[in-house]
Amino acid sequence: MILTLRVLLSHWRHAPLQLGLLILGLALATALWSAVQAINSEARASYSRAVEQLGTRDLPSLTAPDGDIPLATYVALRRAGWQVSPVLEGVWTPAKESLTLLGVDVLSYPGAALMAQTTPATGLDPLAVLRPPGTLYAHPDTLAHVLQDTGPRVMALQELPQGIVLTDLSVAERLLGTSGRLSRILILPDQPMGLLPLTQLVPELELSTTDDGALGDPQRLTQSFHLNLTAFGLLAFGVGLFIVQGSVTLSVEQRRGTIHTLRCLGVPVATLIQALLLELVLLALVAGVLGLVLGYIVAGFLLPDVNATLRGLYGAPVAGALSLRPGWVLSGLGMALAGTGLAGLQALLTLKHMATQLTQASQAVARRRAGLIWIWAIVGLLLIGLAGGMLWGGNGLVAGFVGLAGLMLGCALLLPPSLFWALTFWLRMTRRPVLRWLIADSRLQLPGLSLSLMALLLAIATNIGVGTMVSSFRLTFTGWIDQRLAADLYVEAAGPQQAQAILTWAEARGARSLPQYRWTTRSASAPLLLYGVVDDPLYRQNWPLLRSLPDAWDRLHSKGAVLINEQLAHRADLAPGDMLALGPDWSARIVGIYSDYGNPDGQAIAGITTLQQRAVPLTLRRIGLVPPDGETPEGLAAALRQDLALPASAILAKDRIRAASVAVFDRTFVVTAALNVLTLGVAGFAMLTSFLSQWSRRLPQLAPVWAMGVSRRQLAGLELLRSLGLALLTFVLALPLGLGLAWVLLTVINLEAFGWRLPMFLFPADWARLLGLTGAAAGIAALLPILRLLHIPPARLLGVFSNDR
Amino acid sequence: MLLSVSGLTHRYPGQSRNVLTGVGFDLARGDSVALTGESGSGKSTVLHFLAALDRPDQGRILFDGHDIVPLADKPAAALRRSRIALVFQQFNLVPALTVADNIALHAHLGQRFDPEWTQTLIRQLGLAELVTRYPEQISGGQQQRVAIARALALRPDLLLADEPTGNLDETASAEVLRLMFRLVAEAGSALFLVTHSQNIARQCARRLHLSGGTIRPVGS
Amino acid sequence: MIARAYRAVFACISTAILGIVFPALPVSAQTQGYADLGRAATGFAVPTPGVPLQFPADHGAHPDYRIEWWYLTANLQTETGEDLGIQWTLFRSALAPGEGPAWQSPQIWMAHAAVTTPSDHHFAERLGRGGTGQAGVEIAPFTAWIDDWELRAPDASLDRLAVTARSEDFAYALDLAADGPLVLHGSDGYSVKSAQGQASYYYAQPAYQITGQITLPDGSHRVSGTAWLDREWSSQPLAPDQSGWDWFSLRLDSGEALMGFVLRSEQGDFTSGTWITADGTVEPLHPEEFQAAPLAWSEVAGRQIPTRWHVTLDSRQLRVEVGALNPQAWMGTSFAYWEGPVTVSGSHTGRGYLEMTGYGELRSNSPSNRK
Repeated sequence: MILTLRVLLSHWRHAPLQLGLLILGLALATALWSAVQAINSEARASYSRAVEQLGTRDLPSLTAPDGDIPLATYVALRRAGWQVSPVLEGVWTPAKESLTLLGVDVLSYPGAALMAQTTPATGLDPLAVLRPPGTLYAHPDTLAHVLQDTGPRVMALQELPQGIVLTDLSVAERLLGTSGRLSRILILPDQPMGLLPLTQLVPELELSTTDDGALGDPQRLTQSFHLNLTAFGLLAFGVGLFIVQGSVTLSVEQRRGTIHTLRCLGVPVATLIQALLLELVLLALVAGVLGLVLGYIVAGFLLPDVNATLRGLYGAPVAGALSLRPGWVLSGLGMALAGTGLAGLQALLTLKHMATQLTQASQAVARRRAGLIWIWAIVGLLLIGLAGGMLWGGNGLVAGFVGLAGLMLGCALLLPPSLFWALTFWLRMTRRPVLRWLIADSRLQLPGLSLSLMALLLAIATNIGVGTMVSSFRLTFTGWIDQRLAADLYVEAAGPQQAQAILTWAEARGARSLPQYRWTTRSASAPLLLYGVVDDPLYRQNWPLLRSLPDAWDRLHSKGAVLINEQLAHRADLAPGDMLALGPDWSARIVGIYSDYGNPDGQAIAGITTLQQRAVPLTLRRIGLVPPDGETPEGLAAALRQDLALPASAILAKDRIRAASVAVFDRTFVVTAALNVLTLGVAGFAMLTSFLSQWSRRLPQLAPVWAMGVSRRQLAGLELLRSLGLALLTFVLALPLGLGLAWVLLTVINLEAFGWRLPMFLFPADWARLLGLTGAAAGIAALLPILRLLHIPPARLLGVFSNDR
Repeated sequence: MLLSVSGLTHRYPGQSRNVLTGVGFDLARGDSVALTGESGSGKSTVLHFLAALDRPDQGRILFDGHDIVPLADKPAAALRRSRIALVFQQFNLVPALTVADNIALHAHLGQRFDPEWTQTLIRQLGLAELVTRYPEQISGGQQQRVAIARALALRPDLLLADEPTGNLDETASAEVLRLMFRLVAEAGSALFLVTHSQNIARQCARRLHLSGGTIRPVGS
Repeated sequence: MIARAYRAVFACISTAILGIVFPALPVSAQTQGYADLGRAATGFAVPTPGVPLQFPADHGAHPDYRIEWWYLTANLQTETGEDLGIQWTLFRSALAPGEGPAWQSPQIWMAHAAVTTPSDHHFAERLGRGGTGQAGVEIAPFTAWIDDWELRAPDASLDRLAVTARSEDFAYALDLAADGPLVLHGSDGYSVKSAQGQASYYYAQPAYQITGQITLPDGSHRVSGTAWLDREWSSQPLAPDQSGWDWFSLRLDSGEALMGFVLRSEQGDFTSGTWITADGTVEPLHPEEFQAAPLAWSEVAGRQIPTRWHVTLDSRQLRVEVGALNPQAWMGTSFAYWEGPVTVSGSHTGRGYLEMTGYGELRSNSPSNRK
């Protein structure tokens, strides 16, 4: 057994390049997969670390389906004996950055213990948490956004997620300008005996175990992103397996003689198979470890971008550093082993076949496989049909992804039959003998090449699909942001007095002001941000409405109607004409739906007068300004700075906001682009290995043609042509799949994940670039066999004709 | 003279003795020559030199008066494409092509495809039923007949055959040889046949024996 | 009762904030909190002698004073004659004088409830913010509450009360009826707490008949017995060197009652108390008149605590042994202390309650180290 293994392994000494490619391929596959896993688990660990350390993990909470919870409800629960803890949550903008302010009762909040730990070191009076002006706790990085002179003391609390400020309820109410309202009520673990049920005490509240607050489960929001990454990782891994499959099968082919000899020396087939299995395990372990190292490095590179994406797109709390987890190492190695096993299956079968029937021509096997083409086609069509059904009738993100997977796999399965029929058709059409031979020969080679071509198809389709999605999104986004930024200048007020001062100043100067009043509340059992706007023609001209009733803006300002964003419309299944519940005694008619990208939560717009009549606690931090005729935005900004002594950073021109937003957008998709390129690279690599593995079988087929007077140079040219032709055909088939993928991503996945549907745009220039890239990949993949062919000594070719083979 | 060979001397890389030493012979149009000799005596090597598939260390091979030894890959390929055909013991059909395509391939490559002549060959060789099949779907004797048809479809000036019946049983062997000799004559090609069987060699007009690197005529 | 003051203040401010909010706080920070209490009560009202108490207003809260409590203990018997005791205490502690709306209120409330049987001791704690309505005291009708724990009267007096509390493993609902007048400690309710002159307002109702229902893990029991309510408020009741106390409230079978306490200090112990005759006449004790010395120690929650005492009051020929009904009556609340029912034997017999604080694991201040 060991001897057999040694004999088998000795092969690699003569084929170091092949060994290198094999290990590199498997390592690459493992690397991409484990990089994605590392990133995902890092983010998940970040999320759960936050809630765990604050002690609120798995605590059920009560929320009002619409609006806030009155303080009286909390007290009533307490008076009924329930041990509960109140939380007030709101958006607080102390400086430029908006933060989530979390007000808790430090006497009952489970996370209060953590707040306490940071205090003694500073030497402050512990009671300062409760005594005015209070104490704010935030992650050290977030502290930078909290102006030190906002009043309360600020303390670093490493365990808090970024962008969240934790403080006592008394302080939170002062900073948010609200009173008597709570966002949710946590139910503490230990309760006294004999309590009345909550459904009886507070039937109007909803009990849920998944907290949707700022410290709630960010996985709810980021699930799609992680699913995306996982899908990419899995795709890359699958493509990598094609490489392994090619290399391992090749190595068995090459060792035909050795195997023959070993069989003749009396080595049983079982031992041979065991030895090959052992070899595979060895290779998998070596490559797996290498892949883990690579994956760790890749993850380290990608993590900052991923974190930026998660924070930018979802506001999810993710910490910066990557840590090594034993589970990750084990699963990475496990994947490498399982993948190698799967990829080596064909090699094992080949070996078994070879060891029992040493003489049978491989072409026969190939042609028999080609006969199965109908099965491929039928299974592929079935899968596509199932996927279509899933996408059509299914609901939710998982159905979307499963549908997508089915679609892609189905199309991949359809590729070999399609290529086969395309070649057959072409063969009928053409008379030129060399071409006929090339086509027929390519057709015969298809089974051996089809796996790597499928990999190529998937890679191209993914590139087109994801590329189209990102580019469409970007185009929509930039157009949308232009519409949304209606005013020329935006001013951040430091407080209500300053906001009022700015409004007064603008009126005196003849500038139109568009104050953005806002109120954080709840509707349809989820957080809702309600904006109050003034009646200004700019809104009517610019605001991007997707669907609306006639006279929407008039009804907004005179009839108390509201506009809602697309996310909310999708999630709560609302349409223009429906009612939006804003409180127990308050429903507003929806007169329009507007697009709102880059925001996971529900949002609505109401007339400011409506909100003032309802006396909701509004905050005003941002005011848009339009200069009067004859004055430039720059001039207005300068005057504003001077007259009201505003810091330069408080006034932002439209262009700067736009640029910053687009920059954030681009950063968001850096990871996607990187993964795109990597996947294509891996697919090219798969082609290379499968060409190489075909090589040893090709000689007997090339030699007679050469003997009939087709020169080696010509043969080499034909090889290149074949590689390019197959790649081109694959591209042609991948294009519609890619566009289908983009369509699913834009209209199904995006809708489920974010709640917004995006129009699809086509980018032919990108396709041309991708075609070039594909051609380059195919060319490079064919290069090695071509070079070999050009430099093959005639004696090698003559060996084919040798009578004593 | 179609073929005039003189002074062929060759040594395989890494070996101490010449495999051929000053080999020479002539072959006229329509003539047929059999080259016999022990295994490893270098018979196949001579045949490869004649097809410009490989080149000797020394010597001249005049084909229609032109020395083909110094030919580069491209003109050598062109020569084979249009004027020289080969039949091997392993048949060496192109597995991707059907019997019909295999037969027509070489003639097409040499741009000397003659449908009538090809049909004649197919008929004569009894392949009419098999033209849509693939090589691995027919028997060894049938495959060799396809190989012969492919070679003769070109109407080559020179047909080189290397143990053409080495893989066939006696009955099939006799049948294939009978057809080959008849059709070679019909095509007007010269035949250079390498075999270790004196039985087969006797069917040619002339016999040469290769031994110890030199050639001598047999039985004349 | 200074003892209680110390404990209450420490419990309320230090416990509620330091203990719950800051459980990991090292000892040094706790002493800092203690030292804080030793300082002058800036901004808070301070008890002054000669100001008569006014009822029912003074049954209610005094937010301008730093600390205050409503403290009820009861010695009970089940229908089968088994002894047990209950405690119900509501503490108020102010971060700043006065009131504020809802969460802005500087008032913090804490309550402890306990049931002690000879074999078991159950206790629970509640915390709440003033101003929200979660906890507080109203005068008419008198109601003191935190969450669903209540001490409630049908009118503005303290003559008839109903008390309820419940936790995971016990609950009680008891009715009280006063059997005598209110007792004003010290000088008409102005009670001096140390040689340096710290003082509090302090009155009590020591003579309640009490009946009701107690639910324990083994089931529900009808109980009856006697109860004692203490009311006290102050702003700066402690001398800086005082480290712990032992407080006794004893109802004798003769109809008389004794409240006495020892405030332990490195400078020497301070003792005081009140003798209440059977007809309700109040006789303040002179300093050092009341004496108590440990007789036996028990290991409770990892520390040594005296659970049998020799108590003497020579002026009344009182020489009694006071023993714990359950030596393990440990209140493992945010600020931990010992509190439980006791039985009196010797020259007089009776029952009562004992409270002891300051017996740290270091034992530096334990009575055995004292003269």
